[in-house]
Amino acid sequence: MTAERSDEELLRAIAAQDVTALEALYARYGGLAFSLALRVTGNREMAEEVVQEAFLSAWRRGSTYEPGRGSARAWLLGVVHHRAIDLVRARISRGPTVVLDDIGELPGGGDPWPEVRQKLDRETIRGALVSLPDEQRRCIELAYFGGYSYPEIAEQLDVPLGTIKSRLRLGLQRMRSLLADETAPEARAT
Amino acid sequence: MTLEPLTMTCQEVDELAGAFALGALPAGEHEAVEEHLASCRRSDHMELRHLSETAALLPLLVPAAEPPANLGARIVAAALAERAAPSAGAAAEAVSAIVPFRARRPTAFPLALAAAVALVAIGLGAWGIAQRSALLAAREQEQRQSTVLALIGSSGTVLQTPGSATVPTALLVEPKAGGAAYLVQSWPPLDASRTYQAWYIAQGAQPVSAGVFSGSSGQLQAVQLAAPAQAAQAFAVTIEPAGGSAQPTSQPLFVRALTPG
Repeated sequence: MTAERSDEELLRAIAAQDVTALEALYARYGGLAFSLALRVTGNREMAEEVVQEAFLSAWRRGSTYEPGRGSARAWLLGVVHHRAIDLVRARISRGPTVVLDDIGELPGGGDPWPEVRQKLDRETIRGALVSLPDEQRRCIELAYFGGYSYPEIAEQLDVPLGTIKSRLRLGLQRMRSLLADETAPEARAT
Repeated sequence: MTLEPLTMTCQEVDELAGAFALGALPAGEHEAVEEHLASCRRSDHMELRHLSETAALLPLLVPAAEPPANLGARIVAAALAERAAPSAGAAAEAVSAIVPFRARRPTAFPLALAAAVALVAIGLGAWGIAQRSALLAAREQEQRQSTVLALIGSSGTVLQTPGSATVPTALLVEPKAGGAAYLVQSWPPLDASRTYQAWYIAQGAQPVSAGVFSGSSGQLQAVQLAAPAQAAQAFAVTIEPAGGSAQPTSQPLFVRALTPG
């Protein structure tokens, strides 16, 4: 069995129109991408459309991905997320906004994200999210899973725009810090 | 009326780092941040990039959902269709031209005879995209894809054939209903003295011709082939003298096992 290509290698190959790389990237992330798109749109047909367009976007624009600016995974899932949000904002159709009580099997079967799974299990990620102050967590859920823009969230919660911007930023910063602690073995071994 | 594009300072971009990472910027602001990131020479905006990585962990928290089994194949087909999209200004062609299949020695190949033999040029005619608006072009592209996708979507099995120095990747489609198989390809045409010939291969038996066909001048076409016999284990294509051969006379361009995966 040959060594698996990294996400970044796959995106580069896709940019060079290697269709086997497109297949491999779909095998790795198709399930996760579909689960995310379905979660945001609440509609299977829309989710299919989102996933297809996101992968075709990699096919068309894979060459615009710059490794120095972040992981290929974040780039691809960002494309999926943005397309899903574009649809829900345009069509006023959203999935349910409650998220954390309903975590099922890992999305999609196949081979989702092995390197992340090694370091961070979902319970850890979930734990980091639920440990945030309620108002930060609520804003992150409304934004990411609900597809609401920060002005929409400000209106919904009746708080100033600047407050929502801060909550989103501070909430993610805190999550990042919590998860960094979790993935630093030396920090706990001593 | 068009709005002036927003320009942002580094500080404004940093204040929006969380909202950007979570996709929570309204239209206009998102593009303004991206534009700033692409051209900023004062800061690498690492916080924004780090927060984007953290946000990309959130999909792991969504309930699992199984995508349709053929979604991957549809994406590959659509990608192939885009690659095969005709260049601007090429001659207009019919959307669904039916070209007679050139069956070779039908008496020797009952399977091939039984299959309705026709070369179906799917709607990838060159439509002079450059002369039309971008919107119209996009719609046409969608139509072209959807014709191929309808075939793929109705299929029981879609196998991708390996590319080679001579021909790019293609898809072998066996519709659920059985009967004919289709090779969706955009292979270069051959000169008049040669033809592509498809073969089914079973262990311990001679290859059986699945049909002969010409290339497609860069357009995506679905070539109708004979249905594979039950025992067939592999699919191959060779280049043969015009009219085809009783048995392969050249090295296969590729051999693809007839099992998914």
